[in-house]
Amino acid sequence: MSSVALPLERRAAGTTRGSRVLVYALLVAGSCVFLFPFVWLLLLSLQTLKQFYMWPPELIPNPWVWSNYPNALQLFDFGRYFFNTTYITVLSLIGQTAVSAMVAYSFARLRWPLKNFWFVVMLATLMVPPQVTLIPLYIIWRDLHALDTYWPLIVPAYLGTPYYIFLARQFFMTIPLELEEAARIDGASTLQIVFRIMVPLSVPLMLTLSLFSVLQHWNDFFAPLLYLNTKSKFTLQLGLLVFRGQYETNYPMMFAATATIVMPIVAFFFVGQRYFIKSVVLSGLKG
Amino acid sequence: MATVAARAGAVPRRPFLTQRRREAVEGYLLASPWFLGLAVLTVVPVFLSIYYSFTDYQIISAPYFVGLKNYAKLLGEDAQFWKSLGNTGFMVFVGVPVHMLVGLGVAMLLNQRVYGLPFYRTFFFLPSQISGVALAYLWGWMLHPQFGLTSIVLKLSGVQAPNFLQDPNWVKPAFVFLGIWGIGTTMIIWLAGLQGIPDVFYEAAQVDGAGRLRQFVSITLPLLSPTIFFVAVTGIIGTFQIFTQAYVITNGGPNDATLFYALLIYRHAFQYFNMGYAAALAWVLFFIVMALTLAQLKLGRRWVYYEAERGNE
Repeated sequence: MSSVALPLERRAAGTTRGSRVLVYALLVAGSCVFLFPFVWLLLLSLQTLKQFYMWPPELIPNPWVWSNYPNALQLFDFGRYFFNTTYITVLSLIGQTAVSAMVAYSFARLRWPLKNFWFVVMLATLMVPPQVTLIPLYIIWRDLHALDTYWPLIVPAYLGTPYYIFLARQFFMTIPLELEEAARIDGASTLQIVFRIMVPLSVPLMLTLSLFSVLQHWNDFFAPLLYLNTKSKFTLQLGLLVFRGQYETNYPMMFAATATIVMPIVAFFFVGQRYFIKSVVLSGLKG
Repeated sequence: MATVAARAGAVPRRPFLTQRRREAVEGYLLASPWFLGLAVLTVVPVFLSIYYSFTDYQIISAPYFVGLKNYAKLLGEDAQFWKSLGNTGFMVFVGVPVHMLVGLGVAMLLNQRVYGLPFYRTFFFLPSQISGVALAYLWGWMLHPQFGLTSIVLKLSGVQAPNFLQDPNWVKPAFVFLGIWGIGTTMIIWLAGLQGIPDVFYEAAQVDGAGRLRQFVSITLPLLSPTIFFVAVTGIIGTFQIFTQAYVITNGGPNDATLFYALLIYRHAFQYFNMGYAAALAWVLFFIVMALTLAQLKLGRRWVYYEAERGNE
């Protein structure tokens, strides 16, 4: 687990000139295939409905209908859903990272009876498919009269996420003990050590976990679908469902709305690329 | 631990003991949110779920114990159960290998001495980060019989495109095909695995006159086997969770061709409100996934090569 900074740019040896041309041709073609749907989506979202239905299809909007965006966003109450989604995502992010770091510190550094046993139990819970606990959890939340509220979406984040705890524990164990000991002698409490020393020393890990958390909650569709009924409480992903059926024929509008939801992720991705990739490498090392 | 403390008589005893105890208390306190989570998010629901699976539980009335009836019904009479298992099986046995192969192929291209690696890596990785309803809409559009990207490309090259979303024979292969767009995550794992193979192995093989294919079979595959294993296991577990695309684009159709297992559970639980039956379905899923994982672990012992184990032989 010490190899968090895996050198992804390492090279393999022995290639001839002809095969190099082929490699580049494949890479360029592949990149185009992977990116083209995005580009086309953006272009279509700026077309008129009439142009969209033309055959043969036209790529470049004529005219450029920028008003598709404000119109689409109005159609599905974008502002409110954006706020709701951000609210859930931020509250979950804070809980999920802070609590998981705290629990992970306990597992990484403190000595307490049966710790290894509980650690194995934690890993075992990763094997339980979510469907198994889904139904009882739904009924528990119903009995607590918490259906159609944000509690079922946010509270689990504050109860520690086993996978995050596991990753954080592995990372904390690579940090030298000296700093903590010095802090302890200076009278720091355990919580202070977690949040003033361990967390700041684990910036790459914390960013990776934050990224996991943000993506998970921003993109989540299933939990909101299950727990939220009132339209004004919907998240972006759930709100986007209005376009199914009702407005399905108005593709440019639907694409404008889709693009608006996808773009924050794309922007976020370009800013935090390194951590996106690192997060995957981390998850791969688990095996 | 207590004996160690007792034996260390020379050391001032009481403070030492209290410090140990304090650390234990602190340890449990810091971990307590997870203990609470273990109880309320996993243990209690798991036992409730076992109980529900033996009951007839229409959400508004109280659960009524019926023994093994739910299990007998789903194994015996429920054609949709077998259908959804078959659909999910298609994604496991066709989809997972296809995505593994394409992902490995791209990773091997990227593992060459290429300039601009970060750019290519970004392009291939980005689409895998899109998910949910937005992704489902993109898929739905790409498969649209008239304006879909796939249909347009096929039509322009003179092929009559099948109606992917209406044809029960084409819809699952179409899903597998579009799933290729999401290989970015596994591609990174492959790439990390490939880069973990030391260059010296390839150099030695070249000196011995081994061709590229031979190098791939004799060096890359064996040394990559832990990665292959990991990608296969997580891929299969993930396949049993396929839900959003089928729910949003096809709603299980046409003719139940995209009725995947997770969608079947969702329908029984939250559309027919048949909680007992849905719980039984969930437990069957648990045992299928368990069996597949254990089978892979067992088979894996034969072909997965762990470098660290060599010392034990």
